[in-house]
Amino acid sequence: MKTRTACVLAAVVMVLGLNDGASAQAPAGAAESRAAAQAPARRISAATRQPGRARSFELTASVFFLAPSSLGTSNANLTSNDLSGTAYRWFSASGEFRSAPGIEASASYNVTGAIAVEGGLTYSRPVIAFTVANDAEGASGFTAPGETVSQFFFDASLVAYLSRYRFAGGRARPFVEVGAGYLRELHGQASAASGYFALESGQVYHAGAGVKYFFRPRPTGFVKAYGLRFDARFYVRNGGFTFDGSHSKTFAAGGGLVAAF
Amino acid sequence: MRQRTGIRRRAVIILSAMLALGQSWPAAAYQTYGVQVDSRLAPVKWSGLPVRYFVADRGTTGVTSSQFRDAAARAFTTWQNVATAVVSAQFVGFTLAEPDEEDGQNTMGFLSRPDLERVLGTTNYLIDDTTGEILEADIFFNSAFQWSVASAGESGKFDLESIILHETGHLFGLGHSALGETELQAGGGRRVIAAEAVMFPIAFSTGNISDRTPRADDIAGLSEIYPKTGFSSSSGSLSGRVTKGGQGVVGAHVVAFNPATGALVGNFTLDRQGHFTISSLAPGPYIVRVEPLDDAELDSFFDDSTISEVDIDFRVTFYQGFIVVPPGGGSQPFEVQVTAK
Repeated sequence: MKTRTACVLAAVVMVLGLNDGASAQAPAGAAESRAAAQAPARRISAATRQPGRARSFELTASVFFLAPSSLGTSNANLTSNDLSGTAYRWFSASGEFRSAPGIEASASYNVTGAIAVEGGLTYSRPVIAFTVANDAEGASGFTAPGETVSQFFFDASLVAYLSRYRFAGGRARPFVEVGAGYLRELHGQASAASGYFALESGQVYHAGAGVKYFFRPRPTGFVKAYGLRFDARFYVRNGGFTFDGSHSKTFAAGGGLVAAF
Repeated sequence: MRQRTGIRRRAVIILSAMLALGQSWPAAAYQTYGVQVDSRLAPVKWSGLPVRYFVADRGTTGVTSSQFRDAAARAFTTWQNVATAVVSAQFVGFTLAEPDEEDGQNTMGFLSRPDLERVLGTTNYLIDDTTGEILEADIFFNSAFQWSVASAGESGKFDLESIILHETGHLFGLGHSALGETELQAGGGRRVIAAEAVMFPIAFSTGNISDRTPRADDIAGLSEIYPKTGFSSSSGSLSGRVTKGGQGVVGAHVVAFNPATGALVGNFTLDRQGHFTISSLAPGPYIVRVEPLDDAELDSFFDDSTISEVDIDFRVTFYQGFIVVPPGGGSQPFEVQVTAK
């Protein structure tokens, strides 16, 4: 539910942005020569202040929601007293990351007008919930929150803009992205006195798509344009905390502000 | 258990730990043994390694003394291969001494004890009770039973290497583990359904060789007594209380389960406040399960003075949250509240 809510909010923000931009300026995504022709009196050098141009930078700050994801099931096994050596399940435990909000900061470099490379840091604090069941001695099963984990993704992405699918007069630029990075998870503070944390690490991979919408380029200043960004991603974690060593998978969606330089 | 004074100018105590076939004999054992020295509990351990041992020059049906020596060597090698602990042993030679003599040498071998109809083997210690140092340890294996040294085990015979591994665990200072499930047998005693510790006090059935391999619980115990350099800073512990109606529970079996590795490590509440500590754990989150000690005789785990206080009238209970074990430290203390059956 939270993921859907985030999507709707992001869409509303985009519509507002479209209305604002459409009434005030020429399409930002139009050809450079045409932009110059439509706004000859302004001190905008479209070729140098156009967001998304080759060899330009962008910074993004976003909020997002991670969808729940399974952490698998682990059986507490005893060795059975038979010659087959089969496991005797004493009880079983399964876990999941509950949905959680997070924040992200990323920096992009537009290598060309169609390709960008991006580095980002995402931070979230999902709750690990666990379920105990199938106790051999009849203990009641239950589900409970286990702990809150501090989770970091340090990742790099390759972003490809889908120029032919631009809309909103060319200001909204859809893109697809793939990336990989380092996963770091810090389990809850174990001892108030010691401040120790238990640490898990691994890799994280993602693929996704999104849209950037830039408002009218600013005529002056270091920041050449502001805009909005919406992302939806599919993450695969390899390593980190799981109950069974499997790759945990999750969706994330969110939006934020982007500044073009 | 009996106590003496004045030997070698130090007080010594003799402890016995037995591996039973469905029944246990009195022993003063926890996950690791300890002796009270002033206000602290000193671990029972060897002060010098390797432990030098003799093998009684006497076989039994189907097992020669040389085969016994080889099985013992394999068992000691198994303990020596525990990556997080440092132990070692050295075979000195064969001896005509009995494996129950207080003679200053460590001897293991067969003895015929048909009177101990449910005892497969016993480890006897001579311990300096001012320091906890083990001075001598003898192990006998009851030749009233059928034994096997076949690599794949033999039907109808107990696997000697498995039982030596258990008894030499005692020799190094390990007590009994309660990580197992048993059922009462019609003819008396208990049958193991499943266990997850070589140091469980009741043996697997004949033909079973599963106990040639130490489990997480055994490894944690050995590593606590003889930690490899750096192990203490890379492992952690969890500790807390078990209470019933606000009062501490004595003798509750507390098990820490690491869902990421499947490791199970247990210990007991050891005082009237219901305190427990489980050490030598890999860092990470744990699920904690508390159960009454109802799968073996209480005297497998506690001495006579404590047994009367052990409470087994409560339901199996899980702590409803993770306990995070940090590297090189201890968890935040927590309380598990149990209810009467």
